[in-house]
Amino acid sequence: MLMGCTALTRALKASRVFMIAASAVVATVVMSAAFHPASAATWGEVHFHGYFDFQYLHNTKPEGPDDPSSPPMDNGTFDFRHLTLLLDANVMQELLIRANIEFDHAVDTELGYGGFILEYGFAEYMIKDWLKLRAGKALTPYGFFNEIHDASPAYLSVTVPDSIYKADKRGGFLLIPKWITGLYALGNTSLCDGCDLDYTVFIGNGESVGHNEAQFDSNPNKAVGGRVQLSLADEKYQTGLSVFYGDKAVSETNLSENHWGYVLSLAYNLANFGLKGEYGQAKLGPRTEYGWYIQPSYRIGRYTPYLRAQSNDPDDRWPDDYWNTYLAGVNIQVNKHMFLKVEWRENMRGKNNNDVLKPGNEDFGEFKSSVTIYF
Amino acid sequence: MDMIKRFASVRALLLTGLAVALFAVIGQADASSKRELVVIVNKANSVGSISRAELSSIYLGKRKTWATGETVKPCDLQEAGVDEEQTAMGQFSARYINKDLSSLKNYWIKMIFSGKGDPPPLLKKVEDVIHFVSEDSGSLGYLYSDQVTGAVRVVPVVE
Repeated sequence: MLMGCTALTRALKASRVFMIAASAVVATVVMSAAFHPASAATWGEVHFHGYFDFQYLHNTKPEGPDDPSSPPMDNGTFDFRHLTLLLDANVMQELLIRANIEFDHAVDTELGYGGFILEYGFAEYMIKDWLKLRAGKALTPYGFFNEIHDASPAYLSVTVPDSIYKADKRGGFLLIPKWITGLYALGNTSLCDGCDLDYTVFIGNGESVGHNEAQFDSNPNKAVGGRVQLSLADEKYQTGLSVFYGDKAVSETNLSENHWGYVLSLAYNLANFGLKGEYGQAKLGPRTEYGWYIQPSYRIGRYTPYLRAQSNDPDDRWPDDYWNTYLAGVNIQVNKHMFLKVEWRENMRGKNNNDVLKPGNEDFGEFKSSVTIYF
Repeated sequence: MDMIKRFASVRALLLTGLAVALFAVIGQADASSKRELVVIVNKANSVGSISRAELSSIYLGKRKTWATGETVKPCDLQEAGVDEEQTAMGQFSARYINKDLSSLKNYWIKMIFSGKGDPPPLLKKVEDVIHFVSEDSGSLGYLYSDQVTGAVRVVPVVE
């Protein structure tokens, strides 16, 4: 077993050397394409999109008396969750730049509230449909939801499944980092009538603390990973596997805590019925974390009721640190550009979960609703 | 007793109205489904035929080039004031992409917000589609067969 691990480590190191060399080539290709003499993009080549997400939240009791993220139990709270603008500029036929700028919680830098985030900003050069090269900061391609983790028009529920995508807010750590700044190769190909395969592989800066990961890599190894997705029968069946291997700087003295993880994704879509499920596991130093969810839904005209069961075990060394959530909701398409979402969540936590700040606060209910408008 | 009779007659009237409306809707659907959808390309495009899978890939943004390497530029046609699923776009989507318009819309929302691409431009008039396809050698569109003019070329779809 130990020898297998050593061999794996060597193979990974060798593959990293290869990827670093490859990344230099990729960067050269992208940069040379970027310097191609071209006029400024016209309005016809620039697309704007965006969304607005306004929420109302109400807890039956607080998650913990010291938890500032817990909405008050008495009269609930409004949350101006997102105002996001997207820009796609087709610089040339084969070259485009995409940016996603998010105003989080009505950002106010004067008061120090909210966030102003470049969710992604990258250049992409298409060589073939099956090979595109991307350089910049992008949402890590993992699972069904990470690349749309805040884009509420793109999913049914008020938030994406927390057990996989927001595990750091469930007493655990992120199974796979949300963003990777580096180089990507991606593409898709048709395998047969109605069957498609798409893939993404990346090499990027490792995770850090106190440093901008999009500026420099504070730990000694690069992060690598990717995702492969297969869809069959015109997306009636979808499956995917996402993997990540890297180091995380967890303190000033420990810059390279080993971090790896994977997420297995499955979906079944039959006319108005949809079923999604994912299972993920990750290891960060001595901690091993697990998360899963399953979500059936059924569309009836404008209304799509959905259910979800999700579970997270933040550290397999500790008993009773789970966080399970069962939710029921309905997504209503009000018009072509607007969704109304309403859901009820029952949260059950083990007494050893890191987010349980006071005994007796293990279980609580949440009402969540949102109005989402997109263009 | 009179009240019951009045209710019964109102219900009969409502049922008759509903039946008429239903037949009208079915009749309309039947009328539009009898028209043949055809795929059109630019006259300079030498492609002999196109498969359903290729059409689906192009209209889902998965395939962006013709075999020659030229960029594919598809467009959609959605006339205003018609039941969406009964438009040329609704019928094209159901037949060649195997998705209803609601599913197609959700697909593109995911693609847009994950930074993977933009949907084909949505044109409102038949003339706009003909103009779009006739202007660019990589363009692709669809119309009902009785709407095609000599400015574009019909390409057969291999199922």
